[in-house]
Amino acid sequence: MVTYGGDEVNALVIDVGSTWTRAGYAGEDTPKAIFPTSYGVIESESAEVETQSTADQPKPEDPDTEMSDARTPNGDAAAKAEDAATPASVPKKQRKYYIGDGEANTWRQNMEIRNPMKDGLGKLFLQSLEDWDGYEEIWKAAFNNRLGIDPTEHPLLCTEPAWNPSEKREKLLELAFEQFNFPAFYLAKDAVMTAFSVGRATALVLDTGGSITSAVPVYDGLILKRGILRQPIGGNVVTNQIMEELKTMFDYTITPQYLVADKETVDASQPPKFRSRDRPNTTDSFHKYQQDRVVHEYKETICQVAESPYDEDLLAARPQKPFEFSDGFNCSAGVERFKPTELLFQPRSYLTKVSDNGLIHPGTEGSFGSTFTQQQIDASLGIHQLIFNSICSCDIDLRPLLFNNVVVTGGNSLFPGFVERLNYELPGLAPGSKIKIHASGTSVDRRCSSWLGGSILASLGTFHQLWISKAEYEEHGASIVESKCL
Amino acid sequence: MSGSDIRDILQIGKPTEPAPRKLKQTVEKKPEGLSRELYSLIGGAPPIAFIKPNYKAKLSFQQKAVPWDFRQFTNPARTDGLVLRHWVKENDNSEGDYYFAKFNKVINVTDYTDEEYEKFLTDPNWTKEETDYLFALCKKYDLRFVVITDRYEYPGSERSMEDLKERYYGVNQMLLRERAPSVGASDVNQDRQTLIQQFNFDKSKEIERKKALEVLFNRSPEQIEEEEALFVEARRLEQNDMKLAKEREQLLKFLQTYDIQQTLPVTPGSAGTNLQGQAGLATPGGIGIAGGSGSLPTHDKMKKKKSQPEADPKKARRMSNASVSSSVNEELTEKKEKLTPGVYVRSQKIPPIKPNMIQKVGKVMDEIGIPIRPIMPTAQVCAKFEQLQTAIISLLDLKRQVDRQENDLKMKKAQKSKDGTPTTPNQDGVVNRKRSASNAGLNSRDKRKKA
Repeated sequence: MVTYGGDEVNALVIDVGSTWTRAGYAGEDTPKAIFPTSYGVIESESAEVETQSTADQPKPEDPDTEMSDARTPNGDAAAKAEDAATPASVPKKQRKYYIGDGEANTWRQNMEIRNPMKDGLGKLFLQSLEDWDGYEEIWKAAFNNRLGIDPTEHPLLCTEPAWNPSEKREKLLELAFEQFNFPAFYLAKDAVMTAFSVGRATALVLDTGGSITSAVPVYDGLILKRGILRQPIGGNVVTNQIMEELKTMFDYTITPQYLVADKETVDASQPPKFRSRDRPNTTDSFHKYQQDRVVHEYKETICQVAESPYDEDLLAARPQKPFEFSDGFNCSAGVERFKPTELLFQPRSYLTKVSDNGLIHPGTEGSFGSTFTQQQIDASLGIHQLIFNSICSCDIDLRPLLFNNVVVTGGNSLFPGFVERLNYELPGLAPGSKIKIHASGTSVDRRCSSWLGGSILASLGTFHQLWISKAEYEEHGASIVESKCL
Repeated sequence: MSGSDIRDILQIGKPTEPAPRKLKQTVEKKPEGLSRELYSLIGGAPPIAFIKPNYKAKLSFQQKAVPWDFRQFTNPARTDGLVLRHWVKENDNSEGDYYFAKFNKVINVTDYTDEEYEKFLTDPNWTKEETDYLFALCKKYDLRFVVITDRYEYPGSERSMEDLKERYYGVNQMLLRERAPSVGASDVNQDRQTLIQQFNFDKSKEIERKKALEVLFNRSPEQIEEEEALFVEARRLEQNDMKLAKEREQLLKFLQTYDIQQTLPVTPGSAGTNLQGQAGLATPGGIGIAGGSGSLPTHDKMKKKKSQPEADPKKARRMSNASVSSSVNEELTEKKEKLTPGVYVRSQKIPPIKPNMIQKVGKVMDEIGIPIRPIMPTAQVCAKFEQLQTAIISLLDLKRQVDRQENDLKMKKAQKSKDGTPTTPNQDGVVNRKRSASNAGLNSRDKRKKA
């Protein structure tokens, strides 16, 4: 233990991202559990009156069993939420949660798909109480179901976005100590964890994930708040863009797998021939989620970023790649492979206004289908510009250091050509600086970088003095998070 | 190779006892169904040098496995006594403090009392509350000013990093100065002085530096290109300069050696004659090819040089560039007398006498009343002295030869007298001797006169 500075205390690490949740033991190199953050929920009215206290008896509950909660998503519940142990005597909704890849993707009548971390359109995550309930369910699923541990035995390290406001941090602290009874807890910034995962204490972390793209300068393991830049342009926007494109080019709307009973082979670009299943009472969110999954696959299979400035004629010369959708429709994509991803670099010219009433099922929430106003489009920046602006908002002495340590992570960075493109664009913005872009070679590392950094941190012997212990929480209250987790 | 072969080679007879029989017994028979070639490859006699293979050490089961213990521990770096558990070996009974607690280093940020603040630290730009806030941040972020500036949120004030640094260092400096013990050892005082010096913070200078850096950062690609081109050009010029200086130095050196040679008296000794001989042999107008016949063209060129002494430096440089430098070196090695650069004493140039002759020569010199070194080493005297020395040496040489001859003669005579045959060479030897003696006498007389 002395030689490598590690000292295992059986800590757990959980990293709830907007698309994926990762949970596992500190000291390991990959999380034990990776599952989507989106979960399914079925609400049903029930007249039952329940007196339930979750504060002191965390039970290893199966997410499939009914989760009843004393809270309602109405405004008046806010006061009650303060004390979860208060018995509620109002008729309330009963919710059943379905968490995990297999659970959330199974078709159920009236099952809504929700995402507690929705950060699209610049919203902060965990907006409503509903979200908090969902968030708690995710923790439960991770700890009780997936890892199967007793929370009272393990310290927990949780990641948070760099711009997390203090109310939410305090609430997380409450959740860990009141609901789950962890003996010790720590909130780490995900950008810092990403920097740690590649062995750096000072870095500019570009995280381009499903719902948000952010550039965060990290100095000596501490984020620089004034340099944080973020915009709600991420993988989901690319997904929507692709759907729009398919609609305009082939007049094709994706029919997800759950609706397809059987299909026939058709020629390329011909309308699909399939027999659909009868799925009554499907919620829009579920349908959209399933559509997204198909596009995700499309994206991951054939999409690419142009290594040099987008030039349609040049890219058209590249070989085409075929893709077959879930309903049998298939097409070969040439330039189309490069076009949707281009909005990451040139959002102003490639981000199109997406209307709700077109391709996506009507009534979809803004959190899923991204609608951008002209104003938002004008304010958006390409990824390279985001990095550059973030670095330039830091002290001049720090800039060379940051330029030399640009760490790229997140699912979007896995598009082939992404890093090459950055390598092309950044020197053009900062001609005199030496720029080095670090991107982990394996896709798992890039998807779980912030978890990995947390895993490293929580297994260090010197870190154990930083935990917020339950005793400290009881003495100082939740506000201690501000002084301990910098 | 068998034993009998070795015996053949060493020409040793057959062994008395039939030893090989024993060997034969150990040789295994080739198994059936195995080709001879294969057998000779894999089997046959064991190799002479037999290296015992090294296997991994066997697991020793004597030692009992040390069980691991899931033990509780507290970290003295914490104040709340949080009990965590980790795995340690059961025999690890290190009771002491938690190993990693010692890494909990805290930076000491100076504290000040209200009284001190009132007395020394008041500043129109800063309130006490804001100063307190700054110092709290300094403590919280361990003086990382980058972070402190980032997190600095004092209502109603916008401070740059320089402002914060100036205040922090200013307060520290002031406190150091004012807290001075009135009486103290001088070296302690000096230490404090240097410390105070260290807390000097020049805000305007820092701002200027950052401004300069900013300008550097904001250069356009064209500017950077231009700068790079300029840099390359400067490098090139610098290198050219160096090359030029080197050439000039070489040329100067060459000219210098030439001058020295010219001013040197042509020693009539070996060196002088040598030179003259060469000059006579030199083919007129022959241009030396470096490495070919070295000395001749050099001489030739030197003559040419003399005719147009440093006519135009360009030409001279070119010459020095091409082959002159090499020929200069050759010249120096060719010459019999070494030309030491710089000043030297002329009497040093007199060729030294062989060590075994020194005494004898000294004796002769003593006889004719001349000191072993010339008293007044003018060029003439030196030349004469050299001549004298060579004469003495040749005299001594001859003398020795005569002595040997005489000895020979004596021996022969003795032999002859034994045989009883009278010989004429007898007289020859006498004549010889007489002649050489007279020669020597003449020589010495001659020298005395000259000296």
